[in-house]
Amino acid sequence: MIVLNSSDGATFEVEESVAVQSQTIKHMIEDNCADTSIPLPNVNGVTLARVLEYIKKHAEAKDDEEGLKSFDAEFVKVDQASLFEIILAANYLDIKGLLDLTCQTVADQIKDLTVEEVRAIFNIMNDFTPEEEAKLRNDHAWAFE
Amino acid sequence: MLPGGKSTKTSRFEPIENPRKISLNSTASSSTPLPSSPSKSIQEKQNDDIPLDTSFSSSPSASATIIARNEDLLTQILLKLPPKSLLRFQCVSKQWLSLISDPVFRRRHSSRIRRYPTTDFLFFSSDSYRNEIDLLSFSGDWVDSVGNVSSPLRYSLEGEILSLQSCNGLLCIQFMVNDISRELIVYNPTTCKHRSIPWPYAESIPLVIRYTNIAFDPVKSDYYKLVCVGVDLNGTFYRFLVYSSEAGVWSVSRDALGMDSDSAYYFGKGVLWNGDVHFLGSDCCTLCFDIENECLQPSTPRIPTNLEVVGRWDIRYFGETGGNLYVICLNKPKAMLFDVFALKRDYSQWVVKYRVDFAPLITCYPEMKNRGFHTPCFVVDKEGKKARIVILVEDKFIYYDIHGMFVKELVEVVPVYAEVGGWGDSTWYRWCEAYQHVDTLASV
Repeated sequence: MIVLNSSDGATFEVEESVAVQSQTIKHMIEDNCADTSIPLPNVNGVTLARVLEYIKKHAEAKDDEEGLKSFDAEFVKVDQASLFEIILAANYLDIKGLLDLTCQTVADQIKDLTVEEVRAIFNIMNDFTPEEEAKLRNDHAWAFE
Repeated sequence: MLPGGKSTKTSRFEPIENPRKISLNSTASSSTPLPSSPSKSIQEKQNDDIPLDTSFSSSPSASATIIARNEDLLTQILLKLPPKSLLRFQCVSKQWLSLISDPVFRRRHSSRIRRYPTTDFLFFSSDSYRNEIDLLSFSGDWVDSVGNVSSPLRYSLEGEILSLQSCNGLLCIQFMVNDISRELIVYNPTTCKHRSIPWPYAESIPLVIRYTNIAFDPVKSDYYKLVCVGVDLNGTFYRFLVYSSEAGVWSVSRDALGMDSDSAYYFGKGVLWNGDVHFLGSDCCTLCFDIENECLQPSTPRIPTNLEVVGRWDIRYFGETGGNLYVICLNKPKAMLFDVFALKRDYSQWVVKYRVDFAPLITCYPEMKNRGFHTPCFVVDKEGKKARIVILVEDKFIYYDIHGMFVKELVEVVPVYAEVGGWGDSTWYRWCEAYQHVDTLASV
């Protein structure tokens, strides 16, 4: 069993065979950095719990394609802020399946939004001049309909 | 998706007020329509299965900001967006514009064809009064949008479209300019970009150029190839010319095909499947032109139809969908029974995938018998569980769900002209070809 410590001090126990779905944890174990427990300063307790839920399910139900599909669909039904947290965690922990799933979910959520809404979500400054932006919109007018 | 240009020209398609959905399951000829679901306007989005986030709070989350600043993560999300959204999001910021217009990004994006559950079809009618390319997009049971794809092209090119062929989202079009010269272009209706291709020529072999087809498989290569069929001046053999967008030049394939009075090939529509461009012949075999090696491969075996003599109009459909190559052919003369053949991947034989009876449709659409019908499109999902034939009946597009045994109306078609002189009713609904279309950011 491997012990994981979240940034806010929560501890989680998980089987090594399950934990190695995270390439980051896998490398730490291989490099012998995991004697007592693995500190994960970039992931908070709530998010880590969710990530573990994902990798546990994907380890135990490995061959059940249908079951995993519906699990994944339910798994991503969280508020957007949490979804972004999971993306960051999956990226840090290097769990490809989880990263693909969450990024696809965000993509599906934003694909029909307006440019302003996207800026708001990601806190992005509009650095175009009004003329530059107008020209861009005009060039692909149909995409804005 | 509603491509247009500076002036969105209206499509020939019009939404139907209360599109009927008719079950064909009852033993008696059932013309009582199923209670149709509340009619949805074309504009309504189908977002039922995607959790709509209600927390679009005014203050963006810290993690969202971090993600946006991490180019790798941001790119991962962008790669999963459909082309139309990406073109729009170029306006978000200069960084997003730079990421999205980067050719490397676009190549990566177009090689991951993730089909959102929509089916897009491009329709081209070659009557000279109206030379337009219309788009019909439907997902599930609903029409998402209709549009016209040629308007942006019209801005830069004068002339009449002589022929059109499409593959995985790119179009290859022959234009007639000024009544004397012809021009060849490759056009991407998603990005609205086009490229003029040098007219095909073979240095030592003078040829009359007949047809050009495009072969584009973004999963295999970022580059497309054009396969052009030409005839020698004596009319004795066909030669094949290949243009590679990577090299930018035409080369002649060493293979020549003797012109035979017995067999003719329809070179106007080549279908890319399994690395070969397939051309259907009057002998019911397909000629295979190997795209990578630029040579002819052995033809496929004869399609095992019941008909002794197969006329051109007995083959109702020839194309690729859901990963397989299909031919829809009449089973019995004067019958409404059709066989749907699929070619085995090892090219050893054609097998009957479905046997479709159009007789139940006649009760709902008697015009099918009186005026005939066309089946320009056939859609099968990868698992083969859902197969639909899109049928053009008189002035409507409907689709016939083979497994579900129902018919659903899609759109109405506006006729080109209602009367021509003293001929009375000459409404023109015929379509030359339909192509399954994919939005792509691939560069031309």
